Amino acid sequence: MFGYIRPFVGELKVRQHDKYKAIYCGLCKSLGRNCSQSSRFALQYDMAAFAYLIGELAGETFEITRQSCIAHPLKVRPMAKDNKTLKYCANITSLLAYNKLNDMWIDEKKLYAPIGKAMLMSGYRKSKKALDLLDTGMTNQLDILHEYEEKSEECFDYPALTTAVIMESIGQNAPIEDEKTKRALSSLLKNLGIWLYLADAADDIIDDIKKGNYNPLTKNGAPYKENIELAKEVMTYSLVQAAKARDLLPLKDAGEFIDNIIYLSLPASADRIYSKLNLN
Amino acid sequence: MDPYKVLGVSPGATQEEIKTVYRNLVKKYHPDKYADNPLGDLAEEKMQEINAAYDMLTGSGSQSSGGSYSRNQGSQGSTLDQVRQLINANRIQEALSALDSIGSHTAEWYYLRGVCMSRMGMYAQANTFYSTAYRMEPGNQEYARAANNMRNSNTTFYNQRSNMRGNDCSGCDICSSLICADCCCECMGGDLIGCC
Repeated sequence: MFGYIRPFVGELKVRQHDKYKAIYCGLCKSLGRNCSQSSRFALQYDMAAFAYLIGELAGETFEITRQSCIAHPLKVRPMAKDNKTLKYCANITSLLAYNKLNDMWIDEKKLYAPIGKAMLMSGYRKSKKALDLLDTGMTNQLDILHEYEEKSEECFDYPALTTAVIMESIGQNAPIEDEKTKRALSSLLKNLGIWLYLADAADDIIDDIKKGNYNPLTKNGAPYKENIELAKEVMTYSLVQAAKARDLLPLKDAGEFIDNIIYLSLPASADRIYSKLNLN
Repeated sequence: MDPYKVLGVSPGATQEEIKTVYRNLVKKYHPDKYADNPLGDLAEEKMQEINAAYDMLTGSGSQSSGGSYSRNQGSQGSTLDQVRQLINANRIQEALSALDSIGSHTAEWYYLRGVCMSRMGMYAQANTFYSTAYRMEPGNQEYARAANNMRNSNTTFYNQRSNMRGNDCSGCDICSSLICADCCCECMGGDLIGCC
């Protein structure tokens, strides 16, 4: 699920790329500060992209200072100072990572899952205290996802919606005062959630067939062509709907940033995933 | 309200420029575009703001927002009309319950079910229901539009994507431009590129 929501760097302005990297570093430090030092391993580029977007909607400017960090002790880099947006995104990172590992343990009994959970536990507890309702919502959606997996649900709308609702809740709980802005942001994130689930499913088709795991884009141990074609259409349409939500957000710099993701980066990722399938 | 800011035009813009920008904004925020989207009410507010700004800058001539998508009133009496009203108010769960209580599944029933699915984010399901409605009543414009909506929107999206990529100068453009420049220069008695 992680690693897809990032900009197409070749079409970003240099200052936007610098800001994005500074936010990524700032998020890492925020994880260490607000969760735990080992929570920093949960850091993802996706969350830095969300922080870029949410920061502007929350009316915050990222104050960037040159610092060093534990991973790069000799080189001083521009890093964003902790603010309420980074704190929020750090907590979300911690919750998502812990719950995802929990999910992997239940689903696939991956051995690294309990080790990862133990590392993230103290950070997770702090984040859960800060965002208890959101965490409960997340675990509920993952339970619902398991039910779909158990009964091998064929219609991908249903499992995709669980990811979508988790993403929507990230918008609904964001530190933004204006309710209309929150609604539009939640809708944007919800649609990105649909895209994410389907991208992940398409990317995992071959692996899931080998391991006999649930995947709505497979049927009887083979790629399910009709569903795959439909998923391709729905993925693009989810970006169409995400763009409609984006149009209702009061954005300037972050607008260009999210446009890059919606119109350039995500379609390119989808093309890459689907072209991989055609070769097999 | 700053009408120039709302429309996104500079204070020196001509009436023609304002009209063009306005037409593009109407295409973007028209309620029809948001019929299957839960943010329809926000789009309508935006449309009203845009119309007000346009009126201020041109004196008149803005389009009415055209209301919600339910211009075509249901023919199945009050129950499907009630469903349409619930959908307009974004009360989707109630609309679905109302649909479940209707035994007769007409084309309109399938269409409204599709709208509910779309509002919830279940686009594959929505497409199936729209297609069924269109198959049952192929002459109906509303159902035809809905059945083709995903495909048409996706095509428009791909065009927007192409426009977003910078128009890069290829090697062919540079070379042919230089050859032309060299020819013109030689016509005037000079020589831009010695070897051609």
